[in-house]
Amino acid sequence: MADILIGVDVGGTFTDAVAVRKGAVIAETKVPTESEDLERSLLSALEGVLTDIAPDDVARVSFSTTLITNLLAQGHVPDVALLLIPGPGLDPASYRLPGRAWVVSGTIDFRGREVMPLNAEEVGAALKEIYDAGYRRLAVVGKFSSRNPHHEKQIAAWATSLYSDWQVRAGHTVSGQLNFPRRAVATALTLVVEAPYRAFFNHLCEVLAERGLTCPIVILKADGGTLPLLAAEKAPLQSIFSGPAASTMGALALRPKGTTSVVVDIGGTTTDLALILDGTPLLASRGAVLEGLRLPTRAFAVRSLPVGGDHTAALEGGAVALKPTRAGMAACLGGPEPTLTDALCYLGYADVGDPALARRALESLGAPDAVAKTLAAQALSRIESGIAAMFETWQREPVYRLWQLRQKGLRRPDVLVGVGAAAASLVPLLAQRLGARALIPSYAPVANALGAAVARSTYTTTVRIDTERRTLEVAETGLVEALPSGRMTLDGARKLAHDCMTRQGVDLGLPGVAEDVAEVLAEQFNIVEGWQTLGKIFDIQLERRCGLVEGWVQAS
Amino acid sequence: MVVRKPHEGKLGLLFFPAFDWAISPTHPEREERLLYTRDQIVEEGVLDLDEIVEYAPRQATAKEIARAHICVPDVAAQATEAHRVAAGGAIVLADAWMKGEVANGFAIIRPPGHHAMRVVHGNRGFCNVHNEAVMVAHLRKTYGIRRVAIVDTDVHHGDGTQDMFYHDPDVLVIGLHQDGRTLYPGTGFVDELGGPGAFARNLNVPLPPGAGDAELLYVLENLISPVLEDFQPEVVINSAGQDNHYSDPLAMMRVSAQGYARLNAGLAPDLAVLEGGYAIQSALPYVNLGIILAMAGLDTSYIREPDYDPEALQSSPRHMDVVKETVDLLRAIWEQPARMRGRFYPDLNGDTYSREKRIFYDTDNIVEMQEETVRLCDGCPGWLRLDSRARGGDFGRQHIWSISIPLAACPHCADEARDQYRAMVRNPKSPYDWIYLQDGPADLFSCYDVAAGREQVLR
Repeated sequence: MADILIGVDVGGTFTDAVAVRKGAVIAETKVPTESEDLERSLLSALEGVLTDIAPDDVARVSFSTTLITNLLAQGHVPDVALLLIPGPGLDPASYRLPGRAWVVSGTIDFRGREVMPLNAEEVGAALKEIYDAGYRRLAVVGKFSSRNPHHEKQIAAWATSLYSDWQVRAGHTVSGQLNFPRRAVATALTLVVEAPYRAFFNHLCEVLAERGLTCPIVILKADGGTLPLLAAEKAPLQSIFSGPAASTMGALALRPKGTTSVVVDIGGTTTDLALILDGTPLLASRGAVLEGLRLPTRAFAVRSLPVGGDHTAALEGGAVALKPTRAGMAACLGGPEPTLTDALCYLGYADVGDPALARRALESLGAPDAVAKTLAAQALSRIESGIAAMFETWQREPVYRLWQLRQKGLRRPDVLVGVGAAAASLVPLLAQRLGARALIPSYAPVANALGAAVARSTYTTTVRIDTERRTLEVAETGLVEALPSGRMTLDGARKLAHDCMTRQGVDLGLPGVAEDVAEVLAEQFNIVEGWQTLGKIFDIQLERRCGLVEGWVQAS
Repeated sequence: MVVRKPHEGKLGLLFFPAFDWAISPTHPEREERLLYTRDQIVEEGVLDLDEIVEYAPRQATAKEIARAHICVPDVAAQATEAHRVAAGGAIVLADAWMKGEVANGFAIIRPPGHHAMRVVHGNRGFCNVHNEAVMVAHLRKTYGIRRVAIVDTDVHHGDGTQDMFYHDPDVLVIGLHQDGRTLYPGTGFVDELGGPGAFARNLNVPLPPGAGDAELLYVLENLISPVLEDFQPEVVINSAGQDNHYSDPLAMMRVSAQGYARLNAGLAPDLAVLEGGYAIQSALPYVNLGIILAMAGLDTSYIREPDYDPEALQSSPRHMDVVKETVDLLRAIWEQPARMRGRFYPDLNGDTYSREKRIFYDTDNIVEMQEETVRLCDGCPGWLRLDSRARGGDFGRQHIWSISIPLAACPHCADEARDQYRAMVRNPKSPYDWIYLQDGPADLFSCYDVAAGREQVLR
């Protein structure tokens, strides 16, 4: 019976793979990542865990990769032109966009009503100008297009009929969430990555099939959920930041149930923090941010601190200070300069490298004992204030309803989960300072791959029903359709939303999972103009939350 | 047009639309009042701007509310959770501003508050708790701020604000609103200038129905700005009502989103608090956006309502002449208050001044008769004593007595007031149901239940 789950995490330095059966890890490997050839890294890690496993026994393979980040780093974003229909509001020139933008007139309002139509002549002239400037990829994005995609659709149709060699993407097909600038950024970036992303995974699937692996292949998204490959190809940006998501899911799998935990992933150059509140990882309230570009993508609220084992120590005005720079490996491993890792090695906190080498390097800065203790203390207090800042940010997270405010309260972490190379040495000390329990799980070195292996699928359906306009919109799919006739009640709206979620699940290749959903929101508003009630607006949000596959046994 | 110096730094934004609170299902003050504003702000990506930082509200404590209000019978009876969150939101922003985290702040909160007076028997003009007054009391108590200016741009006269600070010489209240002869609450005339100890600290500019951007900006340039320049407040607060808008269903003014944006750019308030505004689709999304961008120092010229027609909203000389006359009159009073004070208060003798007021609570259908007595003291604002009798509403007939000691009171006046409170509590023939002491300097707020013979103190 196929009951083995395989997870592969391609990180910046290492690629890990694990195989899980009946809630236990049965194989694990770690190989160095070759950033020029991700496929090779991925296959070599995979082979490491498959040695004693028959391909037929594998139920699912999950990937978390840095592919999107790599593609964007190599990609030629300037090749993409944006055609914006911003209507009134902010100065459209003030948006930070990944490409040159043209602006045309036309307005859709917050209810999805057309306030000003498109001007065909103006659009035609803009399209010609864009084409003549040599652009072959076009993002068409309008304000409130998720409430009414008519303008975007019309321009996209004109563009493809005028110039057949264009790759065109309309904003509402990329993100249905409200946030016009983020939608514009995501639409442009999707145009950059979608073709190479599809090519990469198509080829990978062929290779896996050749080796007899015909099970479902899923991708880990930034929100810690998995998505079948076919669906992921249509919305590739969702898998950006799957690395931090994998580490958080790994920590979720390895930590005791139901606690408020902080995941502390201490690597060579950064320490990544994630927050798990009562068993649910915290999401970034408005979406992921990539190198200053704001995306609508749901992602965990991961805070990256410039504290890492490879960071060097130096004298600054006579005092020892940890600098956020890397000069190579730690001295105890043969590197050139004293580092945080050397301090931890010398103090006996970390079982890594040669303590004699660490001592010699630290001596260059003063008495090794005092130097090492100072460095460790500096790292600890930086991480400690990072954790405090993260809790504060969460407290400050806006709420728009009374019930949400009631749920907030001051909270302190119960458990610190240490992941990553230097975690075992620092996390217990950190926990002591915070009065929390430290947990260094046994599979901590391959926690990312484990997270990918045991994460279950997630998706969200946000439905708005407007009974005056007689429309139903699904934010996630960009669907806008006519409302069935008849009177609408909150329960009726809930039922329609559930139907939408079921259909969306089928489209995503996730049939049947819509049963296990949480209702995030179910609100109704009267539409009143003058003194007359003209209709109602219903906002329903359903969510299949991130979690672990059935059968994974958590520690208690 | 920059009249006050613009701020450098971020705008703090606190948005609490209370999507789960309404006075009643079809009342203008209902759940979706800020729904479209939320949609517009989120879709614009305003909250992602580097110039803006968003804050989450908290509940104001009973004591924070008691510093401003005498709630009958107590704070819990008048301030629901939603009121406490709105007032608490204003406090959060004031703290952020005082600590220098933000250059200025805009609290887009509901329910509103500027019709709530010192004594609260119920809801009037959709208000129970005066968010700005609670915020001012907090700023004064926590940070020692004394001189405050409140500019109220709601179309309805901010009679709660006027009542709160009528005898406070350190608070300058300027109200711009549609003429009270044509609109609720029917007050806010030029001759309501402040008590004898705070004369010319309350300036009302009744605007003729139909006045618009030009008239509003004329008042800003020719009255508000020079008066603020003279007064030198430590904090300028805008009670940012948005019902002067040309599309508002409850009023008859013709101000546009552009007008509001220019007003805020010129006024440059330190803190702005949303008040009324019930054109929730045709005005609020655009006006709020205009105020946010103006306060954040960003370009507002791309904001326009779907039906905006500058031609149709042109100023008429008829309106402008009325406004100019009012402004000239108020400027004259502001510049020579001593001469005018004698004409308004000709027979001040003795050490107190009293007046009677009739207050109507439109939402809760309560009628209150109030006798107000203020101590005239050369060294401080003096204590304020109220005898208030209300009928109607949830609590039936209520007769209360209260005495308030302002934070800036001199020790002599403070002791006098405390003695009166103690004497009143001990008086076996007291006709009152409740007896209150608002002791600002001691930060103690006492309520004596006459029937039960029990005193409760918020410390």
